[in-house]
Amino acid sequence: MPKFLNLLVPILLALTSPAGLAEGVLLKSEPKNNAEVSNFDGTVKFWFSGNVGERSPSVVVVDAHGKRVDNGDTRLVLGERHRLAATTQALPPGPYAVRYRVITEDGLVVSGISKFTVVAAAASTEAKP
Amino acid sequence: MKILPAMILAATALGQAQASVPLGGNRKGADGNYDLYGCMLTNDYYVVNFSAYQLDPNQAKDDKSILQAECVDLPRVGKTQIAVDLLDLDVRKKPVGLKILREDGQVIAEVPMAVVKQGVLTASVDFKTAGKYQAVLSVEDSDLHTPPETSALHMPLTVAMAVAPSAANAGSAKGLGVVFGVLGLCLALAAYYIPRLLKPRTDGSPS
Repeated sequence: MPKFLNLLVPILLALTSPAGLAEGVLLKSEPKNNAEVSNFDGTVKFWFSGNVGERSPSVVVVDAHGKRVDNGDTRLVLGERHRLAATTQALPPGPYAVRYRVITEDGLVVSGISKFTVVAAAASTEAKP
Repeated sequence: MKILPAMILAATALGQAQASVPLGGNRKGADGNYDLYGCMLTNDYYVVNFSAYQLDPNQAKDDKSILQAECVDLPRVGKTQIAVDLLDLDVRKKPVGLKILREDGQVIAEVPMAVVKQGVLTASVDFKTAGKYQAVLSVEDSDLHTPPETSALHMPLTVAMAVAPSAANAGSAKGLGVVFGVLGLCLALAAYYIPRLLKPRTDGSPS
């Protein structure tokens, strides 16, 4: 048996074990962390993997002064990729922070902060002669 | 023989992966039941696991059994050790404080704002009278800039107040009793009639 297999086998087993896959992991977010967006569509979204449960999901969006600007309508859609989302009020240009949270069926908490900045849209197309 | 070290490593790796004990596992919840979530309390901003430990006056002095973690309904007055597990990892890097308030708003215990790297905030409280209290966790959240009083997690507590089963629970228990009663009756009737129906008739009539 090649020597490298002595190390590879346990690593693969650990990575593919059910317990290893069970933990919830943030896959991506929209807007992305630290992104500058000019065409914000009024919804923040997060996608998770793992055994995310329905208990106490949350999204809070605040402006630079800590004022809450989301509409308090957190929605969690469970599926192959679990989607957590919430809508916001119309956001003027400026920095925003989002606190998100889901809890797995094992009681593990996946939470964190994501930030984005709304920038003014580029000047509209010039008037044609 | 070369495969032996690999198998030992594999067994070790699997053991570690499966040894991940869920937070709050085997702990009493707010409804008095035990589940994987334990006494998990949340608001829109933060999530914690709450525990309270009280000495049982009936417990023998030489009894070294482990104290049971209570949730938000504490069975008796007296000295109580409160522990709040900060389950949001980023909150462990931010100053947090804890206040225990009486129902009239008077502070009876306070842990000043400080960073709790280990993630467990503890307080010693002497609940002198039965009644309703409140534990309030405040966070100076440098990411959100939200005033701590706005995002504070309020945890309502009761001390030495008998928790009567709710009417809904009593109703559901009564409903379950009816269901089991009907099922039992059906089984009894089936046990009586089915063997008689299956038994071949011997009426002696000529064929």
